[in-house]
Amino acid sequence: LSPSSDATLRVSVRRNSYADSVSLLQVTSAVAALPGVLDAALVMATDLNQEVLRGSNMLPAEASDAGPNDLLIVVRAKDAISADTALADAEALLAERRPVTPHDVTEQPPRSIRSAHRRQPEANLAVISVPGPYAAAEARQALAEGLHVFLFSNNVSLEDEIELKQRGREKGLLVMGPDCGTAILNGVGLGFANVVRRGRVGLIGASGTGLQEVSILLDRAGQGISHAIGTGGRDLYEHVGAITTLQALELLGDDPATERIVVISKPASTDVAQRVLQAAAATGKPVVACLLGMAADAPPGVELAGNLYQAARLAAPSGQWDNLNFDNLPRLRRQTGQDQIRGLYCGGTLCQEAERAIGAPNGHQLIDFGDDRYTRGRAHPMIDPSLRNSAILAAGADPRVAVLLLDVILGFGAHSDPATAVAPVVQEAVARAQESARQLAVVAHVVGTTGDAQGLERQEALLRGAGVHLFGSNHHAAVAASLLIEGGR
Amino acid sequence: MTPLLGGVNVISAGAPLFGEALRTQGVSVEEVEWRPPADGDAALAGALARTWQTCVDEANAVALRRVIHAQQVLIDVRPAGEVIPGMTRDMVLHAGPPIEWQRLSDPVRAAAIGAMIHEGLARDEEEAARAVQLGTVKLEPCHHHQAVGPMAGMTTWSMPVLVVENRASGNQAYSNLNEGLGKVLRYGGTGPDVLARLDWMRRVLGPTLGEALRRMPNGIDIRALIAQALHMGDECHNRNRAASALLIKALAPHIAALDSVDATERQRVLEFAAGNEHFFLNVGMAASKAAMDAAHGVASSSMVTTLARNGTEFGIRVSGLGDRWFAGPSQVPKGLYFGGQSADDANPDMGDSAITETAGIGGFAMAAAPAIVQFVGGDPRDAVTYSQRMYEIALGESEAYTLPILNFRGTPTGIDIRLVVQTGILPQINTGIASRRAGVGQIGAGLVNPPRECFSEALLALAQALPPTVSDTSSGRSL
Repeated sequence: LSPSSDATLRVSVRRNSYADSVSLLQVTSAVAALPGVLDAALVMATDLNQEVLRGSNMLPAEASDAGPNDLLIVVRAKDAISADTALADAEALLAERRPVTPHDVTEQPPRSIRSAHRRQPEANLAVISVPGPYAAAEARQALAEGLHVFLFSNNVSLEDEIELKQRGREKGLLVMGPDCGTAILNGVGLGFANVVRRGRVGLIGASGTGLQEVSILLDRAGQGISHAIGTGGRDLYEHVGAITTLQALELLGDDPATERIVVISKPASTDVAQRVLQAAAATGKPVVACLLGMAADAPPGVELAGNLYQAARLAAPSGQWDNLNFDNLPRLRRQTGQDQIRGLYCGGTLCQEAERAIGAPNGHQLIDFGDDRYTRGRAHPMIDPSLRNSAILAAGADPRVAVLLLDVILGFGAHSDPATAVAPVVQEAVARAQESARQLAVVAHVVGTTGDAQGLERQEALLRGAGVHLFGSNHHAAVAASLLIEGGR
Repeated sequence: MTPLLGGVNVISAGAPLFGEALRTQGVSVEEVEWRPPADGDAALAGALARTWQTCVDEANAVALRRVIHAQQVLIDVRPAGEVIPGMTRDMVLHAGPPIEWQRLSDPVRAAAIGAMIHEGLARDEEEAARAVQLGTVKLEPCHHHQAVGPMAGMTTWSMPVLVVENRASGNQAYSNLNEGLGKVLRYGGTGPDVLARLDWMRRVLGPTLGEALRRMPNGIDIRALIAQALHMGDECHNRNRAASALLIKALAPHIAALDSVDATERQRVLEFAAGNEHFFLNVGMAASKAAMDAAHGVASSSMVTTLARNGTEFGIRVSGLGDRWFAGPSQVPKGLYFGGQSADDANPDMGDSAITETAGIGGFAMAAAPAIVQFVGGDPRDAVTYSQRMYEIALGESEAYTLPILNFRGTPTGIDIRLVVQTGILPQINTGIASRRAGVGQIGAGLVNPPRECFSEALLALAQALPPTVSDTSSGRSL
């Protein structure tokens, strides 16, 4: 054998690194087929193997001290670049996992996040929805694995949340949650999310239903979103310090697909909100902040919105926004003492938005059935409507209640047919009120899009059929409820 | 920041509906078959949560690398007193965690007495018991002396021991020689034939093997031998047929060439070796010990470095928890019994041989040894499933030991106590079953698990030993 004089011989010695000969042969044939490679050998440096290599002029001097526990990677190529590339490729091929399991062996399901990550090493996100007491541990495991976390679980302590978020920040990982209902990343909905248009508005929300509402309002106005990042409802609390919101602002600030940003939060620390607004201004992109129940000063570049509808509209001024009117509201005949709005909500932020629109308390009563105290040991009301349904019936029998205010939420993760689940209950509540000669008005907003699997039109038709007055946003539904009380006698 | 907005690839733990929703959107989702960790024990789950820390992962990577890169070579056979650190003439080493004389099970106590008689430390049972109680003879675990021994594990000053050197880390580990099956000391046999065999092993077998090994310039590469044996149907704990044959093949020419040993004795040595299908067991154990000792003592590591039983208790040690043992009652193995024997006749599990599982062979490599199910029960698919399940509690995969039926995947290696508590999956140990009556010997073979509390207690200890986390330091604040 006389190799051409301009061929390059390269060797890499991996000390004390064993691989079985079958795997080595497979990698050898793959390396030999690389462009520019004339010959390749991957062998354990046993005496016999060294002799064979020497016989074919494939044993460079650098390999002379290698022993039977060392792995030799030898490549002869037509030039130095091909040889070096082939060596690097050989290393990569060796590192590659072998095909997991032959077809005739049943794969066992992974029993931990770590094990699942080993099977799917390309994973970048852990979606965790285990019961609250176990959720922090799973999230820690995910962070230790270098995964971003979408933590749907609720009933996680504030201390755990702080620790998880601090740890995530140290590692450059986002902890969305706990109690994070919604995110849409690169068009993929996580948790409860609606099918909405892709577009240029990036959303950040310490509120799942807040994110859902703004995203569907944008969709219905013909606009779209780049990403929606959930942070968990307590992210703007004093001791959490908006860690996730600030990380998300940085992400969307750097994201070329995002032109405008909307930040949504439920009531929290004003100091923290101020820091968030400063960071929002620092992105250099136009930002709309809807910080429900918080008084804050908007720095230049940041606009404040008083409700979710306004936030969506400010973020997409070029959208097709209907001018909503309340002309078709019925005139409500109320009995003496029948002057209460009863808001029964699945979405926490929607509930708070309604409170602000109505000016509760004022004798009105608004309940968020997604709150931790209603979800211990049971599914979220978006999935399991039974608790709210009982409350709807009770409202029908309550002589104080004049207006029933509801949200109906569609999208991934939600009940497969929520209107069918709630419409007969609404009818029965109205019938109960009528039995006592009371008129009960029912006002609702459907959080959904035509893309949602439940079918927006069908859901709305079912609700209208049950006598429900529907409005295009939650804010408007709440305003309508107020007007009904004010206008009614 | 790790890329996130460019596209998600998901691992989902919890409600299946979320994974399902992602799959309908075309996202790749790996679903965890999640169950509450720690059997729902909140305190333990809390401790578990604390241990998912970078410092633990980094420590485990160091410990695992030491196991995987161990280079074990059998270099010698020497009298225990010459090589075992801390060994004294008045010392009897036994298998498993430390134990008082009164709590020994019958076969182990009998073996200790036999060992003392063999060593000249006592003439009978009464003297032996008195010597231990007066402290003139010390009973200590093999594991405290870089040594391991199967079943009762009795090792005394003059007994020949295998010397395995770990050339990657420079440490050595030791094990006594395997006596064969039937009436043997390690099962509590102490009759004249047992003592005569031990005497021959001390006078002839040990020195002959030692001399042959010393004449081999590089000793015998045990890592390579185990790798090969796994491809020949052994798992190197309960099935050692191939490994024993390979060992004898390596030794035989050198034994044959020993002019200093009488030809009849040379023949007897070879016959003895060839007649014992577990001839290799003790070598594999010493090799495993040499790997695990190298990985012991890495601060914060949650990797198990010892699984061992003394016939009464099962004890484990963990790399990051120093010399503490975490013990619980030893179980009776489940398996197949020889004719006329049943579980009622069985002693609770004993021996240091679970060091093989600790190092990623034995029960962890069962997929390599489908024939073993004839011995321990089940069908060949079970053998594969056992290995597959062990990946769930292993920190990594061996580079040297591979499983052909799993496409040459490395054996699951390095038990993580966190993953044991997280998944509830206990290490699977292949083992021989000893009669609870001294001297009867092996009455079957089967499978056994360590008691769960070993891992729970070790985990609680690890959580305490770790540096404080953010939440600990902030817990004084009012939130």
